[in-house]
Parts: sequence; structure tokens; C-alpha cells
Amino acid sequence: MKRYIFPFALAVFIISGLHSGLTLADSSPYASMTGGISLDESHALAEKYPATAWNLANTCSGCHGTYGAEFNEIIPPIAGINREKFISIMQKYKKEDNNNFVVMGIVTKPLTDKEIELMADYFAAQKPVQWTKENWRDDVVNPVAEKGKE
Amino acid sequence: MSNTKFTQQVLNSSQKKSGLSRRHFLKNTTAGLAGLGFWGASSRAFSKNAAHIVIIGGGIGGAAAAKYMRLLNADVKITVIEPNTQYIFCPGSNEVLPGWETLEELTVTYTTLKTRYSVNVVQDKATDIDYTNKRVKTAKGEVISYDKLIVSPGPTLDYEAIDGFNKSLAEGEFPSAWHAGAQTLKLREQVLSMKQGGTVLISSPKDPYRCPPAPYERASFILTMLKEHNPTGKVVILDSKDSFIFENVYPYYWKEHFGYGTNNSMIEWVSKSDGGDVIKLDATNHSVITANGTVHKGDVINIIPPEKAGQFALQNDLAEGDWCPVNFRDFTSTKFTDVHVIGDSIDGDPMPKTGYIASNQAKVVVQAINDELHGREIANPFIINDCVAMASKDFGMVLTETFRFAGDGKRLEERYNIPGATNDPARQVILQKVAENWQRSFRKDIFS
Repeated sequence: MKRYIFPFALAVFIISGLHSGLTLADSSPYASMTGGISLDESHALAEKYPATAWNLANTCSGCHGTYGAEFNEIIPPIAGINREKFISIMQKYKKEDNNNFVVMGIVTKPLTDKEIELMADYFAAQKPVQWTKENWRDDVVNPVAEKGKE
Repeated sequence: MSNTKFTQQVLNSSQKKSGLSRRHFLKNTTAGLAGLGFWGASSRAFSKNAAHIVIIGGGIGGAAAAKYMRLLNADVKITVIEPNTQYIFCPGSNEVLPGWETLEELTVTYTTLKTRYSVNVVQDKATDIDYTNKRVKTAKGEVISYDKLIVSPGPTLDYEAIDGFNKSLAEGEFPSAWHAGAQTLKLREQVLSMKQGGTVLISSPKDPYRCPPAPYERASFILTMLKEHNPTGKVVILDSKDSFIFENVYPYYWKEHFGYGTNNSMIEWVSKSDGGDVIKLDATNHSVITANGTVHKGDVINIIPPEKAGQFALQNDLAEGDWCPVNFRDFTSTKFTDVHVIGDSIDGDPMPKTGYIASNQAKVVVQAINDELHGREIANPFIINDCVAMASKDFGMVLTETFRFAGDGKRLEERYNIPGATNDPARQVILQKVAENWQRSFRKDIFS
């Protein structure tokens, strides 16, 4: 990765005034760091040198499993997902603020609409897998919330 | 699409068979082995004219190449040459230090590659490539011909780059623990038995090296261990860099929990400019010396050595300097034809050296090989790195990098996004769960 243009100054930083649920102010040393080519440039390269559906979709497998089908914990399987549903979810992530969703918000932004459609076709064609951990938030987040109340 | 459908069928049918063949195998091990030829481990018979894809190294890059080659093409012969019968997965191995993970859990075998994907795994050490005759020689004297060669040997840990340090010291009193294994356990033991108020020194290497956030994740885990067992103990990171990945996350966590930046901090980070660049180990006096001459005494000394391309790649002339140059369309060596190099050994900047990247490079390579076998134009590559890391059991982080093809003869173009630390405990724990889940899903993606 290229060197970041980012000062590593740990200025006085008060977090006590921030409400839980907010991300830290952008002026803090803990702001998001983005860089390399711009999103527009990324989209332009995608148009100029289009990648295949196979290549695009298989970059997802590290988290969602091979064919989007081999995993079923808090990261959902995406094999067999309805095409329109996939597109709508991905577009929602792409348009959202970075920090509104933990991973997909940043994964989707460099992708073009066309690429999202190719991925949608690919995953819609896979054998569907039922996600059985849809209530994962209850297991993961609730204990933290309970702890906070103590 | 037709490819996918076809390979899915191959996958399904081999899935059905695997239970049966395992029982059969157990029952008839001796008789079975005697009857097996070179392709004996495979359940399929391959055409005499089938292309032979030979892969050097059974780490993440090599195993991903073997599996995804099979998913794309049911007809090619695939051979992986790897000396070890087991592989200890590196992602997750820092968690062995505080005891949140075990080496047993991280250990995988090549059984699935053999049985489910009909890959011939040669348990031997590749030594030489005969580029003219397209053959690989092994330590046991076997000669294996290839049509396409994929070299994924992992990095060489360059212990000797630190004056006074070497491999046997790393295997003894000064564990690097940069390949998961015995050294990881040794480091754990050293931290747990360190004298009260002692200091753990971590030397973080210059770029590029395997898994950029791992030294800082390691420091954070050790801090958690010290807080429990040795609250007056301290961690000092001596860095050979002036910045590090997730520097917009880890310092926040350290500040919140370990007084980072105060006089009573349990952790100190010394940048290269401030004299953090470790150049020498004084084993006798249990100290390290940095470039500006400062002597740091440590009760536990963990030097993560700088790296260069794997020995196999260096010995076979695939490197220029420390790393192997490649064409970024298909990761072919710029020096020899029909040879692809992937993973930590390549000069892949701006791509960092991560398992996720190695696996995606493997996919690009097998797609290119498959395109060539079918007489198609070689597709444009696209690579993502979704890097996850933790600071503790309830604090995680994630970043994304995408790498776009920018034309032949050029490097890939990177776009990165590293969300800063969040003070929301719910999000902190969700990110930790994502990291934990990813380690399992990724292990499964490559080795099952």
C-alpha cells in the first residue's frame, strides 16, 4: 500500500462528549483514510478494462465462501440470491456513508453499476443457500449493550 | 455461466463420492497405495493430452490456485508440490498468543484438494526449474513436466538482515513467530512467564512484509495478556517505518485501554524517524540496537524480520533484487514464459502481501490459463483485498483495497478505504466478529 498522506499527530481528543453510535469526528486522528486513485478513476478503468463476472464474483469468496455458498455465520451466504435483491442491497451500500455499514459500505464504492449487475447474475445462478443466522445481531450486539447498562 | 454450471456439477458429484472414498481409503490403505500410480490420489482419469498445471507451494496462494483451477476446468491435470503434509493457516495465529485460538484449529491438510478437486499433491520439495524443457526437479529426484507453472513459495524471512540474529536464535530464545507454529507457542509462553514489570520489545519490519497490520494486532493482544497477568508490564514497538496500517484505529484502542500517549502508558510506539529501526540483536545482553545507536533492553524480544522472495524463487532466478517482477495482466514472470508467480514473493506494489491478495492473484492466474487453453483473449484482472484485524475479543477493524488493471506494462491501480476507529461498542464488536468469521470462512474457501 502506498504511504498515506496522514499526520500521525495524537492531538488532544475528547470522546466523552460523543454519543454511542456516532463515529468519531472527521478532524480526529481516527478519521477514515481514503486514497490511491479516485472513485471516478476506478470506475473509468472498470469501463476501459472490464473484468469478467467470474473474476468479480469470486473476489467475494474469501468472506462469503466459494460460490458465495460455503459459509453461514454473521457473514451471510449470497449464493442463489435474487438478482434484483442483490442489486438493490449493493446499491444501498454503495450510496451510504462509509461508516453506516461495517464492511460492504467500503467494498461497494469502487464498483460500477454494470459490475454489480454482473455479480448479481453470477450469484443468482448459484444453488441457493439459506442463511440461518439472520438474528446474529442479538447474539453479538446485545451482550455488549447489556454490559454497557451495568 | 456454462463453466460455472459444469464445475458446480463436478463439485457436487465429487462431494457425493468423498464420504465413500474415504471409507474405502481407510479400509484399503496399503493395498490402495500400492496400486496407485502418479495420479493415484485423484479419483479421475485424465486425458493423455490434458494440460498439466504444476503449482509450487501449498500455502494460501498455491492451494487457491489448485482449487480454483479445478473449479474452472475439469479436464486439466493439476499437481501441487509441497514438502509439508499439513499447513498452519497464518490468519488467526496472533490469537494463539492469548489462547483465543489453537494451532490445531488453524491446521489444515491437503486431503480435500486431493479427493474433492482431483489435485495430485506431491509431498516433496521443489528445487529446480528447467525452463527450456519445462520441467521441475524435486529434492527426492522426481522430474515433473509442466505446461503452465504457478510459483507460490511464500516469503523468505531474512533473519540475517538484523545483525546478530539468525534462524536458530528465532527457533530458540528469540521467536519471530512470523510463520504460525512452534515459535508462536514459545512467544506465548515467554509473555506469560515474563517477570513482573518486564518489557516486551516488538520489532516491526520495513515494507513490504506479510500481513501489514499483524505486528500491531500482536502488540494489542500481548497488552491484553499483560493487563491480566502482569499489569506493570510494557510493550514497546520499535518500527522500521514512519507510519503503519490502521494507524487511525490502533492508537485509539491503546489510548482507551492502556494509557497510550501518557506517562503511564503500557505501550510505546517508536517510529523509524524517532529511532525505532532495529538493526542489531545483542543476544547476550538481551537487547536490540536501533539505527541511531539506542540500546533497548527487553525481557521478551520479538523481532519480525524483513522479507524477500521465497528461496525457491530466488534460486531459480525469478527475482530481480529481492522480489519477482511480473506482468500484472496474468502474473506471468517477466523473465520466463509459461511461469506465473503469485503471493508474497512478487514485486506487486501497490498490492500488500496478504493471504486474501494471494488467493485473488491465484484466481486471476487460473482464469488467464483457462482463457489461453480455450484460445480466448486473456481477461482483464480485478483484485480486492478485504483486510480484517482485531485489537481484542471485542474490538475489530476492516479495510478495503481494490486493484484495477491499467493496461499492459503498467502496475495495478489502487483505491483504498480505511475507516477510522469507532467509539461505538456495538460496531467495535461487530467488526471483531467479522474478523473472526472471516478467518474461518477464508480458511474454508481455500482448503475445503
